[in-house]
Amino acid sequence: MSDVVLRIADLNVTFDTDSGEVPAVRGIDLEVRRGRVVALVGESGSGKSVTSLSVLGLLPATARVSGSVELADGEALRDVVSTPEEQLVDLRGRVASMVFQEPMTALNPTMTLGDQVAEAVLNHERVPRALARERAVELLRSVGIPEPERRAGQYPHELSGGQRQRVVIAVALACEPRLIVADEPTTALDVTVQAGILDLLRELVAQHDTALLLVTHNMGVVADLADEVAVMSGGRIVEHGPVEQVLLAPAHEYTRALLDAVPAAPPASTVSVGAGSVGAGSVGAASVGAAAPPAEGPGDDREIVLDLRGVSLEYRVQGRHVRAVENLDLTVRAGEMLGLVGESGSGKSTAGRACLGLLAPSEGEVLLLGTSVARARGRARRRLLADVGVVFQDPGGSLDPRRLVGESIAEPLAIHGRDGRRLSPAEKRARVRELLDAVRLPAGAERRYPHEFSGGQRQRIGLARALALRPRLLVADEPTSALDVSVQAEVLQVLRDLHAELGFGCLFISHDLGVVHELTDRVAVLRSGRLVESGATAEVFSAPRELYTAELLASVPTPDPVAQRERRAARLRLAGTGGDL
Amino acid sequence: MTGLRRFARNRLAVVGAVALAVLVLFVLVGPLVYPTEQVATDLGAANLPPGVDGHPLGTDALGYDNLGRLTVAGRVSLLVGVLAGALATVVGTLWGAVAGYVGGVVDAVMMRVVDAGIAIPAIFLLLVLSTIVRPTVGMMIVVLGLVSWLVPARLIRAEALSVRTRDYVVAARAMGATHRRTVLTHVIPNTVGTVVVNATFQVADAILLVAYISFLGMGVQPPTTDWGAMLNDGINYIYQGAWWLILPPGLAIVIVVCALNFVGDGLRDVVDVKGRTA
Amino acid sequence: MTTAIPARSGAVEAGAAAPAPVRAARGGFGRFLIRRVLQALAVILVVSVIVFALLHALPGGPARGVLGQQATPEQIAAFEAANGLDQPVVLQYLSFLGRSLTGDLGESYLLNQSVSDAIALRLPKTLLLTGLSLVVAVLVAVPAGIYQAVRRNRAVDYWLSTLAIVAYSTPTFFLGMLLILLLSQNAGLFPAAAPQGTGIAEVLAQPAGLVLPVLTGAVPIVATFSRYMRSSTLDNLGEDYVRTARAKGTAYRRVVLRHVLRNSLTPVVAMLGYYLPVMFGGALVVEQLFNYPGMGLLFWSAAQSSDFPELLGCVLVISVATVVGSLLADLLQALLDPRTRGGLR
Repeated sequence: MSDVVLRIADLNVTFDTDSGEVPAVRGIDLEVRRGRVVALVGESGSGKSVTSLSVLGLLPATARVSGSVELADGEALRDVVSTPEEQLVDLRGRVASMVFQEPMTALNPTMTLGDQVAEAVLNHERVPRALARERAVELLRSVGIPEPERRAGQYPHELSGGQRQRVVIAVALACEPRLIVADEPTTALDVTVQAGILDLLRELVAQHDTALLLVTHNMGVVADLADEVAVMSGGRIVEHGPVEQVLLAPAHEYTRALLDAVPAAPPASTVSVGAGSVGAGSVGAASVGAAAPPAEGPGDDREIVLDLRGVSLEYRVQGRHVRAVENLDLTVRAGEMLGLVGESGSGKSTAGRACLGLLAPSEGEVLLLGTSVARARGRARRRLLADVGVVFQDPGGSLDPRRLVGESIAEPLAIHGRDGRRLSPAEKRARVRELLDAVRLPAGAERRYPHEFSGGQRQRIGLARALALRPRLLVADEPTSALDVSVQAEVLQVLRDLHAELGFGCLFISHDLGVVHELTDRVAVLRSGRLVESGATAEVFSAPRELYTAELLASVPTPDPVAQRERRAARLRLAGTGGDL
Repeated sequence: MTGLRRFARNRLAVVGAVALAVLVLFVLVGPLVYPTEQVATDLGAANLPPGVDGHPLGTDALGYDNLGRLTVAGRVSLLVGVLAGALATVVGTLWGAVAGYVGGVVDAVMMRVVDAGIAIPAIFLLLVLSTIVRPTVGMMIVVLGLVSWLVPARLIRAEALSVRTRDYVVAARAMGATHRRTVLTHVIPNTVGTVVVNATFQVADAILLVAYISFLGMGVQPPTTDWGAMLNDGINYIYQGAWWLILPPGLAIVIVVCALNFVGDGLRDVVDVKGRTA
Repeated sequence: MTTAIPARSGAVEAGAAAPAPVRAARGGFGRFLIRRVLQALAVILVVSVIVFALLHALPGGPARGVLGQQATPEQIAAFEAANGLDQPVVLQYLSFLGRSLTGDLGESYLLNQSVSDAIALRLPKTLLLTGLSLVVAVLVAVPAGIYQAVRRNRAVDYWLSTLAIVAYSTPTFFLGMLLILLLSQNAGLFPAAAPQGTGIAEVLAQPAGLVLPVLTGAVPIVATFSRYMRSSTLDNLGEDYVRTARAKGTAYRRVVLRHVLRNSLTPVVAMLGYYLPVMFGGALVVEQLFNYPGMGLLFWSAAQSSDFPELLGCVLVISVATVVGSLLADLLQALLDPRTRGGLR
């Protein structure tokens, strides 16, 4: 019994809003024991984040809480719900602490890192300031910040996202709490960085015997780190059990649906193949030579709809030219899906904008259907763009909030007409209805405004608009990254069906290797604006020729705890062979 | 929720709207139901306190009935304020929209002009101008409008800059939409809310500015008057305790400017709804 | 608008109407400094063009403007020849610019004194009055704004916000009159006339006389800046770092004073620079109302007697002071923010 560090009993949370009371958490029970990692998983709106905030009593003033949330403080259990704010201050950080999702904003931009860590110490211990500073440096060292003495005097903006998250973890560790609550701690990070943070958390939990309440939507992260899983949906815990049981043999139908919706990561064995070959080569990427030529299926004679030849792209920041993409070659053929993958800053979205004619290349050429889009002007340019559709990442921003959904979908028709002539209002209406039907939205949707639809529905509206003119090329820039997995699965299914039916070429830009693996025929891997390798998706993912690709693949966690253990081992082997993770 | 209901939920906005309606009625209908002599002076009945000789608010130094004067002065104040505010809004919106949408060197040059205009305190500029041109009501409108367009220009530029980078505008450009079409169907409809809200504040500020100019003795010439000029006339008798010359026009200005600010805040509540998830 | 006292942007769309923020985050402080100084110079150049244009818009042209309405045609012709007014406009502008740069702003025919001397005598007093009002205003507005943000949407916040709008809507001169009526006429606490004298020392020697002018000048600034401060503090209270600080057991009071305050002040500092022309406009009214011997009063008397060299000289000086003030406020803001300061090393 004394092992329990957190006990939640019959917790209910409702929010007072303009439209009445909205329940967020409805009567959950949960126990976390010393040294254990308990994952709380669910999609947006499931109540998992609200639960995590209630552990430290950090809910906003509009929240109404009932039930109990007890934290172990020495031998006593203290109920957070009934403890007044002045006394909660003493518990926070000392008994339990928290790591947040967004490392870019979680730290005070005008306070040095050392001071921010030291403040956590000074909040709970009567020690001289100098001593607290020394402790801060030690903490920074223990979370893997290089040169902690120097870093302690720096400000958050001087660190990368991954390092900032390490600092946030150092803050959480400062008073050696018995429980750390981590709310989506790696969601905002690139997959290779995520792997490092997960390693750090695992190590800290083992070292200090700290319990971890891990809140996440990512089943791979759960498999990598958790001992137990509680699945939340609609404010309730629908399933709770050991990680192997829940992920491999889910009992509840919601859990099964959730796991089914997760795109399968490339198989684990693939990594060891890549690792093996690298192990033999042992020198890493450089020795493998220049980027491989864009591999195409032999004898592919389908028309090339998009052709990038030696494209370099630059943009200006404060009068300085910054090169985002360098010497990029890509082709997309009719009916083919090409995945363009890379981490943040790889230049993949910039490349996408160039394909749409929004950015002129500083070198090389972007050919749409054989014509240079940068050089086309006026009517010729418009005719060219009539054959291209685009879907963006943000479902909230890509539709004009002041126009009816029907008007948005008909916009390409209004701009271009069809077959060289303007469409009558009746023809437009008919086409809009056809398109709504194609993306599985009910008739009548065209008479409503975008804010009346959910994110997934809006993304399908965007897809309908992109396909209004039956384009030959579709550029999709992270079209599902802002969506929950179940919604993502829906949108991807619609995309896949329409692609099969209409046979357009598709440039699918994504950071999500699982989605790309599931969806695309060929893949191109981008890093720092350069093409690392490209080829048939199955080949590249099963036998990467480049160390970077292998590392990237190995970093994707798979929602199978057993397989994930092997992947992790493979990744660490890779890193050991001279990877620069 | 409809715009009207959202506006109605802001109680101060409703109070402001009612106060505005009452004031407008007062200056428009007032002289009809309460006609007074406002051209010929009557020095025999100068500086009468309120209530004496059938003057509810007393008389001023030239013997004008103060209540009647308040209504005719209000006509000038409101007329100049509304038209100057409208002029400033139109000029500023066009200037800012062009600068924000075109961007680059054009934007830089246009905005330096705005910066320079803002660097010259408006009152200083207005006083210089009113020594050059004779301040009639029409002239005041033009001059005030031309001095006041700078802030809306900046505001609309910022708005246009931000709308320009929204995904739906980028998508329209990628679909091959012309600049004309993009501006007409996306940029303008999405900035119009900001423009309307700002116009309300613009009118409020113009009314204040008219009052300042008149108070400094550089406004419209007698026998035409406005609330600021009434205060300027009244200040000479402040030490004799002639509060009735000061308080009514002063409070009228405060009330109308407050009311416009409240209404503007209410309108902003309505405009801000756009794009909010239901 | 750059209007006199009304600073609309102010009470409301603070952020959006502020000068285009020159983001220095990536360029480093050196680059930022150079850009910002060049920008200020460009603005001063445009200001000089405007003033030059005004000079030429004078009735009867610059010659009559300078010599006064009583000048004979012979005098005017002689003046035009002597001052190169028969030359092309561009050359005239360049010589005007040259003279202005050397501090030669012409002769005031009202004061029988060079314009620059007249201004040099009075500008410090205006800066003193404006500075005192500003200090008083900031001391009230900053705590008020923070207090409102912490108590957001409660009765106190609601009433203080309404009070701020009322204060903002009250013309400075009307407020001044009310203060005179109440505190000087009725209560007899402070004199209604400002201290007189040529030097700052003489002005400072009569502090009681400064109370009403400073108070009158401070109220509109409080009205505007308490709103800025409130919204800036609210923005920061919603930031993630506040949650991080609370999660490590920092008391709310300390979170506000140690973390939020500094981050909220930075944008408000930049708004101060933007607010300068409004403050100078306000000073004019206050000086006129209380008969305070500063630049505003000088300008007002010049306007009464159509003393154009004096008027335009004042406009030029006050505008340059505004531009320089905004520049300093921007640089101060950049220095307060470690993200821009970083490039300094």
